[in-house]
Amino acid sequence: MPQRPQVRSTRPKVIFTHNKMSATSPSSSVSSSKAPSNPTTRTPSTPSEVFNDILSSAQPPPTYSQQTWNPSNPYFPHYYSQNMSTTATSPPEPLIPPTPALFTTPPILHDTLQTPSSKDQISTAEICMKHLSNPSDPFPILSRREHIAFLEGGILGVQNGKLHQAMVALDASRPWIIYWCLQGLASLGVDVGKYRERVISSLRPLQNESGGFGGGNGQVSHVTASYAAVLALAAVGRGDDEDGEEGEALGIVDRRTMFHWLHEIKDWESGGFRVCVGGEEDVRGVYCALVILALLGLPTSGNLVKGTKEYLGRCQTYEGGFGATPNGNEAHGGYAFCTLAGLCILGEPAVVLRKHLDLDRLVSWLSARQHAPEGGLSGRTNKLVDGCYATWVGGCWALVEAGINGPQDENEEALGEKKVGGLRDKPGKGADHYHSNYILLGLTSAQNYFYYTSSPIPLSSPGGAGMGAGGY
Amino acid sequence: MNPTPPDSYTSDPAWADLLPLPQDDGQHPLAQIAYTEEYTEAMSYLRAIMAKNEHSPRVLQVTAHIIEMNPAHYTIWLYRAKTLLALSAAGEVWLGRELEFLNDLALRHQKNYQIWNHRQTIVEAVAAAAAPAEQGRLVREEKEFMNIMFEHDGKNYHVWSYRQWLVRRFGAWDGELSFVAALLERDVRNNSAWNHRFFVVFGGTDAQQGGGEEVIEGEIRFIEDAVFIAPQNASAWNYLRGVLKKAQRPLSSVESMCLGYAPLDDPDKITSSHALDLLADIYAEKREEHGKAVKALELLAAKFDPIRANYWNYRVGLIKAAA
Repeated sequence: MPQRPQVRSTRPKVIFTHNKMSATSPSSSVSSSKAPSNPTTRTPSTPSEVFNDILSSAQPPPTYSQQTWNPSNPYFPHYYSQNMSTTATSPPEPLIPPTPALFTTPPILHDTLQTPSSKDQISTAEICMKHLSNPSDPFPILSRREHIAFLEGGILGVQNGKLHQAMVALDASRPWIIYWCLQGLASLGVDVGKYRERVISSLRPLQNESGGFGGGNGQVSHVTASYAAVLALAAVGRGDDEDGEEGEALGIVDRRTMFHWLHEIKDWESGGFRVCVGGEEDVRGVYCALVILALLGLPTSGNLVKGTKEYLGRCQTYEGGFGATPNGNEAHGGYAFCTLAGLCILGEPAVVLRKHLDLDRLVSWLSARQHAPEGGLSGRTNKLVDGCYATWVGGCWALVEAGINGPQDENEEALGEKKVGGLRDKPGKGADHYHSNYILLGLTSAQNYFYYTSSPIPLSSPGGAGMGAGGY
Repeated sequence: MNPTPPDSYTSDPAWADLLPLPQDDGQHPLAQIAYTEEYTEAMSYLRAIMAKNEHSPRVLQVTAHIIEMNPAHYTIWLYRAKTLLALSAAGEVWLGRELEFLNDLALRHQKNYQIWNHRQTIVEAVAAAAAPAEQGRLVREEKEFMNIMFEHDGKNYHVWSYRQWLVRRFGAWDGELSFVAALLERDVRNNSAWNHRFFVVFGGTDAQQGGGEEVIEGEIRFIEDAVFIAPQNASAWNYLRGVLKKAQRPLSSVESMCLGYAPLDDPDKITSSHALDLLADIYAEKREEHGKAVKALELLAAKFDPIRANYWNYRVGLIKAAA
């Protein structure tokens, strides 16, 4: 295999220690944005670089509209080439940089044959182009305050401290709502430690005596509910417990029964994990079980994970991505993330990612997930972009990059914003806590450089996006 | 099998023996849902019945009631399955009716894991008790229902996963290839159908149909036709790579096909970025053709697929590093 070119990143670094409860760089470096490059030393060469530079130069405010247009500013070459003659004769006005043509025009290659897939694709692209071409607001600044209000509404309720009755569809996923909102808030720089006591009292009744957490009180233990509960507890971190002693919120988890229960859902024949006793088996089960083991400091080697690396490796399809199971399922962004993250918990990324999969095909498939003109990411070939893949697909890049220091992604997410707060699948859809969290996490993965160290770093108090990065 | 739920469990004599169990949400719970009274009551009676470990026909009534309000309630589904299996073993229910119940729910809730896991449990139980001829009919009916699901969404992941399980479990490979061909006829960009084609042609993992020379030739002809009508269709090109790899044929065996869609010396006539991508891989294999590979990648980065410019440039870097 040829030597892979090393790509040096200027993004803030997020360190995490392989296989250890996460350690992160100080949260300030995690949440701070990339400083704008000096325009005199570097000119963006590709459309996506221009796009990235525009995005990164927008943080922190001042916003574009407060900048005075400077025709010699190499950040905006498209505008420069189109408008030289007019700006030369009229006085410069405060302007918003135009969107690169890549994001406002249809792709140069398109087939004449129309099918249901291409019709869906074209109508989504048209909606996105409309937003991206909007001269007053092509790349809206993240409405931080509104999103915080939206996510706080998710955990604190909107009427009498409760969520609307329509949310009953998530009655078997309550740890998820708590986790999505806490992680989304943490990504926005909110100190979620203030919810520590209530997170503990909310999750305690969901833990079952025989190990694991259910999606609600009295519900059977489920590995995804347990995963979300463990992440939520990790996010609120250390504090004073009822007995006056300081401790980790994770301390409420009965590690012994959890470990025992994980043995119950293990499929000893295939190497995979079921989501619950009697439930379906797929790589979500594996990924969630492994994150639980890693965060609780339980062994991620040995009998319990026998055959699991091989199980994950067998999920790779002829396309390069990963299906839900090794039984012939289609390559899918969500399952790809679960598989890669699972492998990176089970072994050193640089070793496992080379040993158990075809990395070249994976990188090809992953890079094909970003669409133009939409700019967003899709989960499967010939499917539509969806904001949540900023995490599922975007997060794969962080893992691939951490493992082999391969190519850097250029993910961005600007289309999901709604004025009232909350982020969504795509324009036209409603906001929800799931998409809000994963779009923010995707932004984090695009703005930070992830790598791992071989020696453990002591656990620091969680803060900012660092915990999320440490989670995988 | 699923009698209409009572207006009120509390005032229904059939439920009078049970003391409803409330839910313990702990102190000052976060993300608490404002349940309707109907949901709260049904759940408290279900908890009571579960505490008794009762598996009677009225379990079917209350679980169907709750599932109607919240079809993602996996605990309810698991308890219902256990009850059904117990009642079926005692000859008190006919499981075929459960499949009709599931059909209706699946059509209304397209993105639901539990319905399909439950269906698998039920179909296993039905098949275990069935004679071979009845099994054949069961599989046929399952496929017919899936076809209705695919009319709503030809890419439903749960349905495809279920189909792959069913086909392998019952060795029901017959007719799958023509079924996939019909779906691709309707939408040649349906990647789920292409993926299923790969599963069928190469028999999942146990190489049931092997893939001899004749099969491979047939697949390549099929791909050629698909690419001809939509050269920019990633699904067909991904499938081509998959077939070549499985057949251990070199990528260079399709060079002339690629050149038809991506004449490197006449870039204005390029109609497929995927053909360029493949050509770049073909030429990267031979040192003396590296120049052509780099040219293909540069065309992709600059003009034909610029959203992936970083990836194409990375590939150029790999070629230069190998030189």
